[in-house]
Amino acid sequence: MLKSRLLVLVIGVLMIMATFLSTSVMAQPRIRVLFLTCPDALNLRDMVPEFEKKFGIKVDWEDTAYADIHTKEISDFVAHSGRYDVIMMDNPWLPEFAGGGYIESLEPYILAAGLDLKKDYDKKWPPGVELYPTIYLEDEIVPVLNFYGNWKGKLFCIPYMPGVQMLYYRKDIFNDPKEKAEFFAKYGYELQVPKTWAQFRDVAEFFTRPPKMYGFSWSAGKGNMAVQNYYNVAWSWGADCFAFGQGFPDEKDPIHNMPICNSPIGVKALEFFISLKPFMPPGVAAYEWAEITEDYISGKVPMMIQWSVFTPQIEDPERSVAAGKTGYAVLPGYPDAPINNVPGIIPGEGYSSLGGWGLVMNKDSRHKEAAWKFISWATGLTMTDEEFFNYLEKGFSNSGRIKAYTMPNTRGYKVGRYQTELEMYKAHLRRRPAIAEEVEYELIVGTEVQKAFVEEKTAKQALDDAAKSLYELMVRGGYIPSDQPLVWPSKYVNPDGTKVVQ
Amino acid sequence: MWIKVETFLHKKAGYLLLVPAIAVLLFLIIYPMVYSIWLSLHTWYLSKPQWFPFVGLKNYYVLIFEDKVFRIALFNTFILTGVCVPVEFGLGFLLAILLTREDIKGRKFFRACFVMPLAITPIVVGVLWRFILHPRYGILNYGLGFLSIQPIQWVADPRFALISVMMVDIWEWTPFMVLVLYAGLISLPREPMEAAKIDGASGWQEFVYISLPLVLPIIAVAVLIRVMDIIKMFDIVYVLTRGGPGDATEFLSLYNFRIGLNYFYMGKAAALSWIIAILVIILAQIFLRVVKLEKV
Repeated sequence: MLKSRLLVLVIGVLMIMATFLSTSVMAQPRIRVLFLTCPDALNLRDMVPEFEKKFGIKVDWEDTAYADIHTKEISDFVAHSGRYDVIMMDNPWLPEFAGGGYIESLEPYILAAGLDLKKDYDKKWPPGVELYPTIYLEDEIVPVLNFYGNWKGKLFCIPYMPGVQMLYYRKDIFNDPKEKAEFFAKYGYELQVPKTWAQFRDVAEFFTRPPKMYGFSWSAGKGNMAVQNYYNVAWSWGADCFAFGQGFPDEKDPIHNMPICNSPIGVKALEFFISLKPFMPPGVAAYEWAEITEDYISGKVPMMIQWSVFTPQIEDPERSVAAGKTGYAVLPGYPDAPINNVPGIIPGEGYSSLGGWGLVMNKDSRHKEAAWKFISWATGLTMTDEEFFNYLEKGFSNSGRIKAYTMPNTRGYKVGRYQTELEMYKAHLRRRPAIAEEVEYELIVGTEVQKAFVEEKTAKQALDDAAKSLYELMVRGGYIPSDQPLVWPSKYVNPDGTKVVQ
Repeated sequence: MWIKVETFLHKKAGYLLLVPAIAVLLFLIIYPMVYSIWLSLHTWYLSKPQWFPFVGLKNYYVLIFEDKVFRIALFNTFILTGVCVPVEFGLGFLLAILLTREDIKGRKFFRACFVMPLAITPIVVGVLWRFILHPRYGILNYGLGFLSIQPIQWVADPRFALISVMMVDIWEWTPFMVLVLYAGLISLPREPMEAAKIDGASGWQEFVYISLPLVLPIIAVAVLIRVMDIIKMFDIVYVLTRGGPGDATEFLSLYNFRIGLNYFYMGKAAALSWIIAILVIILAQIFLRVVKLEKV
């Protein structure tokens, strides 16, 4: 009898405890975040317990491969399930996500948190957001913040893992007296880090000694690789893809939305891009990004043009012969570029396509306050200096905050990556077209560029075909009415591809 | 009353037992199929999901008559099927016959070897072959170097990209043919062969007039499975070439994936799925008629 009473008592106590525990767990906010599977994100994942302890918010972490993340996000948006509260977004997807009304403006949360958010209705920087005010937030890098998050004057995204392409070169090879003397004898000027595409071609040609060494590694892989690398050249030529350039399509003026990728300067830039082929290792027409790095870290090339996110591999002495011997430089430019081209282009300066990812809040999230706390912490806005330093150091990571690039004790600063990267972000940045169909744009132009690269078509034929397909894309997307034929937008662009000075 | 119910249940029990299976079929197969037909008659772009106009057969018309990439993908799919399936069958049949010969030593070892490519996930096969075919680090070019053959840019050159995909497919799927046909050959009845031998038939005659007709249904099934499978080719080519260079290795399934899950034109993707399905059904019917399977 006593035993059974005791048993009832124990069970009762346990039930009360379980109820109490479950209530307290239920009371704890719980958010689900979706990230790309990449070293920086996994580094952040390891720090999530610190966030949970600090804010009392439970985080369900999910990361997925690049091939799946867009599909997962769109599926969640369309179903309005609100499965994910915080989402990692590739920057070209902003028009699709914000334009589709799937993500939440972050401005009310920023203001409520007392962070410094300003809008400049006069200066309008970077070029492209000229229709809308420029947004400033704390010490965020202004062009990155605006290209990532400024949708029609409102802020929707905070940069988390920005990306830009830089010129990586082997300092030891460039400083070798024998190489310097031979280069001078052949070209009549000093071997130096190339500042113009003409110099770049000379240096690449000079170091091309097949089969052991080639001038540099790059890629014309189908889609993403080909289009981004080609435009790194084309932008310095003054070419762009659509008449609206770095800005937004104009809903009221279909002529402003016409493709101009086949402009004469665009064709010349593509011809130059293809002319570099003999100085690249065989097979680059099908290279993935990782294979470019592989050539460089195995010592097969003394230069490469690559995303900043690959630096950890390059500076890893166990994997890379280039560790500790790599210099970082901004991309070469084209001094003969016409002066009245795309706003923001300075002849002679090099420009890179903006890559990288930011964090956004799902409009269907049921835990928006908690989601904002996570976004502001993960993007470094509310991390302590110690947390921020640890985050940068642990993964050799970067951030959208200027502070990340100016802390002298970080590895990235010591090797010289952060200084060059920040310079690129501040003044050498271009973005892909701000349309929801950006993924399709990449494949259209990227496939045609690749066809020209493998000599299936001439540069002109390839870009003419790309222009036709882009026109069809713009009609499908509703930017151009179907009864409006493909025309050259003379109102905005001169016949040679330069901008009309208005 | 109770007796009536019991009688009714007794008579109709079979139908009742079928209900769960029919329900599963309805929700998991019939409904998605009907919905995908319905979807294929609409424009539905996931980036603008609220826009869902009925367009009739326009998606089909656009694909068949206006879409350049679709035509290239269709052509490439036919070439791939037309080359790979006969080669896989020819090689597979030859190897299966060799495996049945008792005078060949190590047959068990070879049989085990043939299972290996089938046991590897197609994505891994693609990655593996991307290394093998690498123009500078790949073992294939290294081997060709001993024959004084210049390195070939297997997946980066449009002249070789389709051949590369074919090589990988043949490598992966010939063992399937070997194993299926081998199983067929060893299960044939011995009596007709022995009778033929007694009647003085040569080995070739025994093979052509007895073994081959007997094993024909198995050949038909194996080839049919491969034809249906190769039209769905996706994983290997996605990893190996992404459909490039240019459109050199663009296939129907890859293009369907792109339209549906990269561009989110769900109506058009549904239409293409149905075109692929109809194509497979037609090919299967033609094939079955050619081999006259029903009469065998």
